[in-house]
Amino acid sequence: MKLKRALSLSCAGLLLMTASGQAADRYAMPPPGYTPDMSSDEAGIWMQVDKAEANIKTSPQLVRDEKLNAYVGGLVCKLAAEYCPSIRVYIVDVPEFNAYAMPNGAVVVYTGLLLQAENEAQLAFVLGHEITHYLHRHSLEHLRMAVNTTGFLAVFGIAAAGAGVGLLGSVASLAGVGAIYSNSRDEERDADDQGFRIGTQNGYAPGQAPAIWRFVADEEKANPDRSKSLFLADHPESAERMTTLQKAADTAAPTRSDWIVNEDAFHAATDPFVVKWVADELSKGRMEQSVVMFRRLAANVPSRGIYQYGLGEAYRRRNQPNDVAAAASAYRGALACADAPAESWRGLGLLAMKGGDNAGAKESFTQYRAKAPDASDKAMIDFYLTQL
Amino acid sequence: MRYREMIALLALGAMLSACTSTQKQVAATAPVNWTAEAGKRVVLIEPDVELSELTAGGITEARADWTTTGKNFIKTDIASSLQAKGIATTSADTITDPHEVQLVKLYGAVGLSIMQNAIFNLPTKKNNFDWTLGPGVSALREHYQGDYALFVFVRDSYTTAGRALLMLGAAMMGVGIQGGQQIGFASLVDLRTGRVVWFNQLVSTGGNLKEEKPAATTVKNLLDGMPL
Repeated sequence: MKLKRALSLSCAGLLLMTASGQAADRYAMPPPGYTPDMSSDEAGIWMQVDKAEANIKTSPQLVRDEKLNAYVGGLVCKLAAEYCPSIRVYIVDVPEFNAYAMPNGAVVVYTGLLLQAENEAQLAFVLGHEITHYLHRHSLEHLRMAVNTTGFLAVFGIAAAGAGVGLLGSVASLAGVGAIYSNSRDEERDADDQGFRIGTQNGYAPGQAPAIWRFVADEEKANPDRSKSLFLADHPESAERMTTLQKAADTAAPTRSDWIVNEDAFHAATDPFVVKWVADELSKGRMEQSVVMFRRLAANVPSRGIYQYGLGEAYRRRNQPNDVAAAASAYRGALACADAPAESWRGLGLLAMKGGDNAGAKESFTQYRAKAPDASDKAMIDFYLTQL
Repeated sequence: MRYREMIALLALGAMLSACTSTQKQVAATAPVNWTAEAGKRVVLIEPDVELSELTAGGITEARADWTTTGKNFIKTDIASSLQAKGIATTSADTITDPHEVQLVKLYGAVGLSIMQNAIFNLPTKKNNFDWTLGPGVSALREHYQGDYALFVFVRDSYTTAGRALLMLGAAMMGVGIQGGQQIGFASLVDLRTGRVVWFNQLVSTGGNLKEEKPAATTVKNLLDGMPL
């Protein structure tokens, strides 16, 4: 259930950029530095959203690293141009491919998005999409509608329970909170359109926009909870939008020859966190999708052993026919890289132990113990070594 | 015009018939005492206040302007009533320290439990008011230099004209529809031990935090029975 929800969130909440209509005219943009009139319902909504933002600010899940925040924040600032001072970026440790914009100008980026994006251009298209949601006040309209239908208390989860009082000023948990800032299909199209425009105006390679959509769709197809072809059949509008996006990219591409992708800058900013993010991704226990994701990331940056290690782990834990061989090959690929995680040796040891290759297991576990003498699972590995 | 007059009359009637009830609980085993009699000081944690409008459909809409006004009245009134007792107050308005933020959130959970317990008694909490946040609250004591912290929570809703009309119509047919109401609590925590020494719950169908005088009455009701 949780998995499905997360996926539908990531599909509904962002990406899917197309460049079709001129929907932008429909939405009145607030002037830079805008704050709503205090007596308006918008101010009431901001008041609640400000509380949610304050919660994010003090959350242990907030990534506080200055360099990473400067990189992502700087990118948002560049894309938002004169609206930069109105927008605040929060990077939050949630291993899902998602980002969302709040009506008061807070933009939340999940670390899962930073793990899965391949370059700065892809990140820029997603951020441009979210900036559009804010500038066109999409979630405000959505929240207003929700409030009018179900009331503030229901929307913000602060219902007065019986004669008592609901959760004091609390909001939904961070991972779920994006759901209340979701947008309608038309708003998604508008954000796609404008996000694509923002990205390309800043020189980002148009082909990177459909590329994001494609890999997310590929992972979605691997989701065993859905029949393989059902995803696109279920979402004709998604297929349509993907096509529109590709067409837009094809049209835009020849207009310039100096499109930027900025793969190196992106990796320089995110590399220090990738080991953690890979562990977070694996901790979700959805190995079908993880296999697809790590296969892509490992192929994309073959010199990074961490992705191959992630792929090895995903294969080993998925444990389908041929996965043992695939996992072993991925671990060996990881060990051939400069940044080889010591855990690759552990993975090889576990595979060998399972296959009855005691000598091989002993060799790998010994390597692991030597490479990671303070590993938290050293007692377990030492126990295995006594049994082999 | 007539319509407005009628609404005003109706609102007046509702105010006159408004009922207010408070329910206080005091920890008998944690008597109030000050570290230094000369320097009595209470830390006023930023009150969690929200004023909203209750529409005809029964939906509440938060009002940022009313909330700002109401919160300011509450803070000022609390400070002056404590001052009248010779107690100084320090306002902890914007708490950003992660540990302190967690303490305020913890109180959110504990305060909610106390309120619920007043309705559905937990078997272990029948006769003993011994709630505590634990000695970790000393962080607040060290930062703000006070022996006690005062937590205030208020949700106040006001009936729109449409809702009032609906109430009148329904009343004429013998049906009672709820109007706006005030729900809240004030609670005192000993910052040396973490013990909740006093908890006062307020439920009222009247009151008006948007104006000075009725706001003072609400604060008086909130602080009713405070053992300081």
